[in-house]
Amino acid sequence: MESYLTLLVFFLIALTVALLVPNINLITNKFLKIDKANREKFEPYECGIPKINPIKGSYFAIFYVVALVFLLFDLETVFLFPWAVSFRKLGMLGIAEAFLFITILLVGFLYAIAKGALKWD
Amino acid sequence: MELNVGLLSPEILLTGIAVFMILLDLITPKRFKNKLFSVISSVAVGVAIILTLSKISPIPQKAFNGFITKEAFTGIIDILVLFSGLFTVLVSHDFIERKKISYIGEFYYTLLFVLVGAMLLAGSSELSTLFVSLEVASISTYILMSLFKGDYRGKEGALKYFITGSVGAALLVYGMAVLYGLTGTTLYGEIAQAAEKLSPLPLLLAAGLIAAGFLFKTGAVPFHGWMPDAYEGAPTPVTLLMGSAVKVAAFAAFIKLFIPIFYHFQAEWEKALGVIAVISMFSGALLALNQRNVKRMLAYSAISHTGIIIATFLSSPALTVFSVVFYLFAYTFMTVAAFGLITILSANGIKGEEIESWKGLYSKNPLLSLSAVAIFMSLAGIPPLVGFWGKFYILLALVKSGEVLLAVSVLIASLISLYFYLKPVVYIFMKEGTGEKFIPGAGEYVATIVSTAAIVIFGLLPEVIAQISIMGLSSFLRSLT
Repeated sequence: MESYLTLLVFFLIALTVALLVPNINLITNKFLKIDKANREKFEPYECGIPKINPIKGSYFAIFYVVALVFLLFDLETVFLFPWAVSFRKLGMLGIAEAFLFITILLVGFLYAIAKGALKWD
Repeated sequence: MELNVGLLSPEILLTGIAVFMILLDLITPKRFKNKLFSVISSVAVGVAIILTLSKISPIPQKAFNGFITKEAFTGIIDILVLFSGLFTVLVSHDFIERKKISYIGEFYYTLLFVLVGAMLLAGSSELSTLFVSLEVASISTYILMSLFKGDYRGKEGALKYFITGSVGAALLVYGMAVLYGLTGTTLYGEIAQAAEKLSPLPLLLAAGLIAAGFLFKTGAVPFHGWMPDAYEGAPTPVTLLMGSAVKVAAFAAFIKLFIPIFYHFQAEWEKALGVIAVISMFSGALLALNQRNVKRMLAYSAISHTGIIIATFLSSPALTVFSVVFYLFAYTFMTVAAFGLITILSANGIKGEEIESWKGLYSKNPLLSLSAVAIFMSLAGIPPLVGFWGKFYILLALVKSGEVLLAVSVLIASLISLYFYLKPVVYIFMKEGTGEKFIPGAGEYVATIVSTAAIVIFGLLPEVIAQISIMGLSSFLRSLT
């Protein structure tokens, strides 16, 4: 029974931390900030330079696509490390499965290339 | 080590075809895409149906060291998922012809991935397999919802579904983690053996979190916030798939996980689940009363139906499995027919979703109007249609296990829901309307009429579904021992 009590306490602590951490800066800001409202405060970027024109239209977002393609190879590595460690135990089946896995990933990579995800213009 | 890969041949076939379609999509010229991919995916789903039918056996079979267990119960759910997938392909062909979409190939192979995820979800008998297949089905659904060009309602719905669905998945994983921490294994059978010796308090924590995850996916009331927006926003064929395939598979997985592990202390949680069931069926029915948009109305009615299905969990395990399989069988065909009908009627843009544009449909298309009567009356549970028998067996199960109060609330909720199910019928037959003419596509017409015919025929011959459900039940019970 005691061990379950630990579990409950852990759950409560996790809940408190989860609620506290994202909001801690909001809470401290309430007390620490110097409250002087002026027009510049409401600009999208508070960098000191007056804005030239309002932000409209689309902007270059290729970084997201590149990050997504990077994720593909990241995952590949994550899965291949444990596979490489237990390579001898897995035998022929392990090799076949790894090839299947990489083939499916390659299809995704081919798709990304064909759709121009890596074209930088 | 026993792999038994052959058991998963329908899933492997669908995955293979889908991966092949990714490559084919890159070299096909745009004007052939819709026709080619709809033919390929419907043939693939058809072959998968035949493969699944040939593999159904009352003896439970295991694959991948017990990670997947396929009984007749799973087989029935797989067939339902695949049938709704087939109807979705038929409906989407005509839908895509009319709408602007630059991702035709993507639509069809993501649809196949939803089916694979849903089938694995129904088959999984291990926690991590369950989670991965649930995510395959859900993430593919989010993608499908947001693929259409300029459809900001769909993108909004997808984002809402994505955020709430992630919260649900997080709850589910927390529950799984607790369960794993308690028992030290992820296989259902071993968890069930270990769980019998544990005290109910920590198990209740796991049960609560896992149930919350599944209730998110099936849309019971405290977790129903995403349902109306997602159902209304999604393109109608995708709503059809969400309402039938994903929901049916989620219920199957819920049963497969819940009955072996948590049923031995039913007395501890049945009150909570009963309250959720009653609140869901009433709030679904009451909120639907005032909707002008038929898709939104059907979303609220889906919440009400979820409540009715969850009410069954309070009876004994055998009665639960039997009546839930029966109800899901009926519910799949009703959902497919209802959303197929809406797809046909929205041929001229968004209008067919508004109930005003259903005025005077009878003078334009008598067959569709009559099938609309069958569909909505079946959803309300009027005999001799199949929806009646589904509700009948649920009521029987509840009364047999002494839950009379719950049975009465199911009855009252159905009575309330009759009002909003009659509303489209009134608009079709009793209001004069002008509206433009519409020409339904062949695929969506076939899908709607065939599933309406299934509603009527199975309503006249309920013993067919009853026999199938009993087969599912017996093989499910055999897999527990």
